[in-house]
Amino acid sequence: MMNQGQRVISMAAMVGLLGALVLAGCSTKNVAVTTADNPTTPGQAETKAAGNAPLKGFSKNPVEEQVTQPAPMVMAKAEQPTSQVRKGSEVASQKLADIYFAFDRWGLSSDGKKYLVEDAETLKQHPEAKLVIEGYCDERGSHEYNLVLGEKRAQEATRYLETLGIKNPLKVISYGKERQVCTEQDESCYWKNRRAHLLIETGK
Amino acid sequence: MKQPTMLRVVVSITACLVLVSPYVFAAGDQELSKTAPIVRIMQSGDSLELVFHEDSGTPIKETIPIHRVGSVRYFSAGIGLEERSAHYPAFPLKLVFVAGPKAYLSQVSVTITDRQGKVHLQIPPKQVTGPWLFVDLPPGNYDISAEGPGKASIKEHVTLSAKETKTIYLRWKEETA
Repeated sequence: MMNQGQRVISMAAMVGLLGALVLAGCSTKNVAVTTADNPTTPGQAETKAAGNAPLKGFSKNPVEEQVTQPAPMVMAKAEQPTSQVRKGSEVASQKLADIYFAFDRWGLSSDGKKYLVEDAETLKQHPEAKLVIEGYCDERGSHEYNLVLGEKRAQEATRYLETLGIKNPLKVISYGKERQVCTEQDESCYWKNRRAHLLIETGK
Repeated sequence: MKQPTMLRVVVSITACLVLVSPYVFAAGDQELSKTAPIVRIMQSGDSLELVFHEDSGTPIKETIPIHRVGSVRYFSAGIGLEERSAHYPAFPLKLVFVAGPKAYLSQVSVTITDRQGKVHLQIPPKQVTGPWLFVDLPPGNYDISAEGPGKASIKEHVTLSAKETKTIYLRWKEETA
């Protein structure tokens, strides 16, 4: 038989045990939500951005905001957005790095050149491959201005590849501010659209 | 402050902002001024060469064509901060094409006539690749008519002298979609 003191201790222990079980249940649920819906590291965030998931609304995620600030001028091997847009096309990406540009500029940054050097190494292994360089801009500015700016970006990437000894047949296309990969109206999105996208044509 | 005074202040500030917006848009130019490209007219006279220097010191050259109709030369520039940071030859007329509050426009067709209605120059949009157009016109009074892509015609009058470059902003109300 338990005396009153023992009964009180026993009750307290049971309440404590119940509380611990409840807390453990909640904690498990939280972990599951984080894993499923929110990237927890920059790498995960970029992976999701590179996939088929729509980018729209992505920047609403505070983790993503943190990842993209300060906005990098150059990122390698980011999204290959046009492959979605050009479904059924004969052009396919061959893992060439995209080159990113500062706002309203077409000159290459040092990182941009670094990634073009990597691209050149890939291209040297496929000297006959037909290269396509597409120039893009963010949504600010007029349609006409951005068409020319996009072309200058693509041409600048072309010029630098040529200085690296690349002689692949190539064509330059400017899409200006069309075919945006990201449509949020802030810098976390704008930088992704200011790019030169390099593709290897796989045949007709 | 009384309400009418407040209103006047607000209106004044708004007017100032509208007037300086093209300059604000080009504020990056000053940032780049210490690395302004070197510009020179090529010996053939049919192009400008812009020489930029990268941080590493490597020179990058860009060529801008100079067009000519009779004795009048003209060229278009101003794409990117790189081109807008350059100091160009002092042609008497510089046109700046703007759409909306601050977006530059290109591919504009321009017609320049004198006071008697004689057409001096008709520049097709494909030659106006940038938002700036420099024209080497002799001193005199001119009417400028410009038509943006899918936009109404805008007319301006200008008096040019040989001593200075006159800058005219041609502004359309809305940005092209």
